Amino acid sequence: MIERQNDPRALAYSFAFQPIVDIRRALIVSQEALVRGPNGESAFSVLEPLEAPFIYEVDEQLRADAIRLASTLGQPTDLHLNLNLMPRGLEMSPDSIASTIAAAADVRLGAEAITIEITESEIIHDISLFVAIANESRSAGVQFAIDDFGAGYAGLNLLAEFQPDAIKLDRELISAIQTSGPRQAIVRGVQRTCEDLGIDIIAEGVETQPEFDWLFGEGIELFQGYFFARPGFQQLPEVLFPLVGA
Amino acid sequence: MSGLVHLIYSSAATREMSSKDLVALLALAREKNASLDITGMLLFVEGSFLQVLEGDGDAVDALFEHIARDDRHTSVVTIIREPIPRRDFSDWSMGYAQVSAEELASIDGLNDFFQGQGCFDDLNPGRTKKLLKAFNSGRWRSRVATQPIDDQPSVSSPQPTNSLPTERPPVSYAFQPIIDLDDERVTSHEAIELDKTTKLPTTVQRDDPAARTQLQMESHTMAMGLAARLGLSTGLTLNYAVYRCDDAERTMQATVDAAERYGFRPDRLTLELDHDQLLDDPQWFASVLQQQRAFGMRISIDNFGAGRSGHYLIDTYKPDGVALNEGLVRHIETNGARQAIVRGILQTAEDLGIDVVAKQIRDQAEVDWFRSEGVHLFQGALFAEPQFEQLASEVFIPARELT
Ligand SMILES: Cc1cc2nc3c(=O)[nH]c(=O)nc-3n(C[C@H](O)[C@H](O)[C@H](O)COP(=O)(O)O)c2cc1C
Repeated sequence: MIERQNDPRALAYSFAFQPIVDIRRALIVSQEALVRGPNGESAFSVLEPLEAPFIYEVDEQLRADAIRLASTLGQPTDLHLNLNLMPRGLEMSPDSIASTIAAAADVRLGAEAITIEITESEIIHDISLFVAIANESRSAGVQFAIDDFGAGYAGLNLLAEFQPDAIKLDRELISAIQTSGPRQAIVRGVQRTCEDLGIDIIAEGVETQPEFDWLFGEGIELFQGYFFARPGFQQLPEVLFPLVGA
Repeated sequence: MSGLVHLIYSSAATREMSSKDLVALLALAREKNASLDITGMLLFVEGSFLQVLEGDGDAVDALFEHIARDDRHTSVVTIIREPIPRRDFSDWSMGYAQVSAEELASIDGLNDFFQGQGCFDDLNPGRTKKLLKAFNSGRWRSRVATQPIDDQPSVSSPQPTNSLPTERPPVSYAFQPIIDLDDERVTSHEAIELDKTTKLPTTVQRDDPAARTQLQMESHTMAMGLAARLGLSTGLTLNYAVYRCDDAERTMQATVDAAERYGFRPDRLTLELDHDQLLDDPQWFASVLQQQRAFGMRISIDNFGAGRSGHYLIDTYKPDGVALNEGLVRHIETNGARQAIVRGILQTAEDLGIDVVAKQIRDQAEVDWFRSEGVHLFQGALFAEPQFEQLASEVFIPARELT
């Protein structure tokens, strides 16, 4: 039998950070914290052995630790972090976001410097509970982003219940978008919806120049992906900004 | 206290508003807002209002409800209501700007928008600023439309006959028309499976895929048999619950065979896919569907935007149509989030030549909104209820708007 971990403190892990960039302003607007093994092993190797409900306890602890690590790597004044959250954990521990805000405050980071990312696949479980808790933390200034948007795990209807500050377009939609009419039409539709609701669009998983060119040409300005910067293990990576026309 | 929120809505003025009218409105509004500790701004551009109200949640809701009933405006659409950490307009009991379209367009970033009361660049880069930008680029402007004329023609479908099928007792079908309002014609009837005795939707055994496949094959055959006997002359829309790839080919073959037996040419059939789960191999299933498309059968995605029925389906299946249901259509005329979602879907559909059917329509106001966005295919109780083992004898066609 495999021994299952049940003490969050006994787990060994660390973090990589990957920038989210605003191309027009040539700025890093945030760093997403990505969990890694203690020597940079994959997130999968850390999270895979964990089971519910223990994994939700870990999830909360990961955010606090990511904040602490990031605060030793950058100036709190210009630090903004994107932190992942499994919404189902909120059912067991509704204070989970509040505890993240507290962890940020410990290193003099305001709630406004935190964006909580939730994956589309997780959010649908109990939407009203999620919205209630998310709205509470919004009052404190925390922002929300929906990850993997368009992957088909949750409907577009989700946006009728909850309007995040940003959505991150699913990698699948972006890969080789310059050649796919349907994906282009989908992204244009999503842009239309997001513009009308004041939701920012982040194109994530951008790897090539043609992908970037198409997306930027359509007016997308926020990006994340290898094309700009790979995740940096225990560091906040710098970005080589592509030159864009004035 | 219920916490700080902002509510942003748009509306259309019902009459000419002179500067005097507006000044009077604002004087009263400012006084009342100050007493309620409500701040915000009001924008008036060529007959359209956009207003931001900020304050305690209950107070904002109560005031909004009050304002919404004001007969100086109509088409009131709530764009967003959400908690905020701080006010964007803390100094203004009601900031106000009236601008012409040219002014609005010419002001890069809407500077000096508030006529000396503050400026756009001072705004926090949050939702409000983004929505003002959207308004600036022409979004959320509503105008009062011309009143529709008042006669309401109806069209007849083929007369129903009373010969009923005798095979397999537990289920049977109701038929509900899908209408094209552009040429006032019933394009298709959707076969809706019902329990024969209760006449309520059937509950399928989801846990037994083999039984489900069998049932689905039989049900398509039955629906076509019944439709043929009722003398259906329009298209026929069949539901297809997608749940397991390896049964797809068999089911499809059974459908094709039945169509031939009952004399339905493939181009009269629409398969409406209902996704309640993700497929293990959607690409393979898509290729099965494409084979049928080659014979003229149409593929549509039901309940688009809900549950598992997301964008990726468009990329995977390249459907001929998508259907919007309850969750997106209900009271869309007042629900800004639904409007924004549907506009996005329409944009995508237009780019790809996909038909959009607005289903489960109950109110004229819902129809009017969809019509104004160019949607012409509809289904719902407003037009015709599903008829058990019958084709609708009468279909209500709302009056056409003057253009
Ligand atoms: C576009 C528009 C915006 C309005 N904004 C406000 C407002 O912010 N505050 C307010 O008290 N009244 C506002 N009013 C006016 C109210 O509808 C109402 O006339 C006013 O509150 C006086 O109501 P009372 O006569 O019942 O006291 C607005 C009206 C319109 C048409």
